Amino acid sequence: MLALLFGSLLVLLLLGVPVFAALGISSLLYIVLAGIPPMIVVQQMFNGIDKFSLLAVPFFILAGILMNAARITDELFTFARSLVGHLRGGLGHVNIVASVIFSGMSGTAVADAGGLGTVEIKAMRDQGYPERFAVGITAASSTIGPIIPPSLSMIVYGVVANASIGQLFAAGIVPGILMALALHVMVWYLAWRHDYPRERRAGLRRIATTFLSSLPALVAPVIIIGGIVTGVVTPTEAAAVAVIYALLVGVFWYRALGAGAIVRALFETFETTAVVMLMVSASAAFGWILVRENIAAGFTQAIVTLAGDPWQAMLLLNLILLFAGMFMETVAIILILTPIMIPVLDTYGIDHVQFGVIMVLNLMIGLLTPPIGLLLFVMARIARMDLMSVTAACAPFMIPLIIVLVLISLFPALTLTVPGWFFDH
Amino acid sequence: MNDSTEPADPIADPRTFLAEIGPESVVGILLVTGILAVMSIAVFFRYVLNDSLGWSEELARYGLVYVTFLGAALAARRGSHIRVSVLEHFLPPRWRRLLHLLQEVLTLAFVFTIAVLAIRISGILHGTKSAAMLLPMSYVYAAIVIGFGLAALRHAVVLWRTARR
Repeated sequence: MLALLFGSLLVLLLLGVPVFAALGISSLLYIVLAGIPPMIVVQQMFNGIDKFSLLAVPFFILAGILMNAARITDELFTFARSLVGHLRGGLGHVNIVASVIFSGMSGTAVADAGGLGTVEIKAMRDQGYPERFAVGITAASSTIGPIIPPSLSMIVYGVVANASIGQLFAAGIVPGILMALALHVMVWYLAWRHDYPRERRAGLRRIATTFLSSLPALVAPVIIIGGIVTGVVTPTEAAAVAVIYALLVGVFWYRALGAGAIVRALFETFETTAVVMLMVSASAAFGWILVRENIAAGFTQAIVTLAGDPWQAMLLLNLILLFAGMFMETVAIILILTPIMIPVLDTYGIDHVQFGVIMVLNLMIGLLTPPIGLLLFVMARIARMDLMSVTAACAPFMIPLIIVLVLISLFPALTLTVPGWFFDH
Repeated sequence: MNDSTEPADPIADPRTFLAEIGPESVVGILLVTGILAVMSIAVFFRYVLNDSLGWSEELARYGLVYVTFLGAALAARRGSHIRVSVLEHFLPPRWRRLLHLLQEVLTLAFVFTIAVLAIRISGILHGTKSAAMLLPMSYVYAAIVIGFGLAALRHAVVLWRTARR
């Protein structure tokens, strides 16, 4: 029966059937053959999305689209440029700083790459940076987005793993900063080796002006992250506040959001939300079977025979996630693999919150790997390059990200210290 | 990306836009706006007026349920579902078309089955009321019937077109 459930899922996925239908069909098949009333599938599909925490999904998607449309990204870029543009390879460093700040209001890597990335690549091209460097650092820095809160992937993981989304958000802050630092080192090295250009150091006055004009954009992450991490608001409420804030700033401060842009943003939110939520819905039926039939026990058994120590188990889980990330989309993997992996975590005493950050970082690296890497596709489109060149451009920047992945896998303190300050464990 | 500093109006021609997004998206856009409004009012009541609204959370959640299932109809027409698209890269065009047919048939069968099952559940749950708003649960499960019912029609259209091509 185990082979039937996973075998049919795998075949359907390979055939290219939409992920939500693949999950649903294999669940239905199992349930009918096991003699369970099939209506349970519909009930689980409903219960799986009838959750307050999931209301944050459309709001964070909408907030990201609105902030891009309101050209808040341009202001952020200008501000970051006045801060670190004078370093050698300046725009590479600017790229990272802008991504870190934008991460504080956006929940997906694709929002970062699609909005900020367009501005960044154009500026780097104009200054004569090699195409490969521009595309590589833009894609790599976008992966910080879902690690630093808010994060769509962490919300989905939190719902499936039954972990506190507030704690997961808090846990991502240090790893996100580590990723930025690791990428800075990489840029510094490449800039020194290839003698990349630098810009004139911006005077204090210029820094002050760019700071003031990007201030509304800078305040957003403080409100969102501060509110959630201190527990003043729930992630869902913070997400609603983020949307209202983006609307007010975009319409009244930057005067860049018209009715047309808002309606289109709402439409894109509707489509993206539905596509994500349908997978969440169908995976709830799939997850219900996994729990009821205790199917994950077999997986845990297999890991236990292979791994004696927790670090060996961690290595195996990491490798499975990296491999899965090469072929599948982030949310789909979280939905399918989390319920299977949770019992393994419990066997080895690995913290669910720490593992949430590890899982998302693995999948972010997967966004940069062929054959299916969403960020590769986005970069190919906005830089007008072919997939092979984009893949080659991103490859060196995976080294710093993998180093951070190893660090947060080995040292729980890197993820768990910050949530420990704000939440009782 | 064009070099002009002013972004083009995202909706230059409302009629073309409407044809692109379809009627289900008009409802979807209104629902997303409504959920946002309800949640904003709830936040305002809770933090400014120190008074929590009992019905707001439930209403927003059910709104999201409708968004999810109605979106299946949109995604069916625009082919926006997330899937693993490795195999088709290695297939010749003829086989690729057959694979596409198979994907549509399977998805159609799934959404249709779930829609039919949802009709039965709606019948059973008609007497059951939701906790806060005392709404018959059949109205909420109707989201699945309507959304996946429309999606089934849309998949059938796509299937028909692919088969005739």
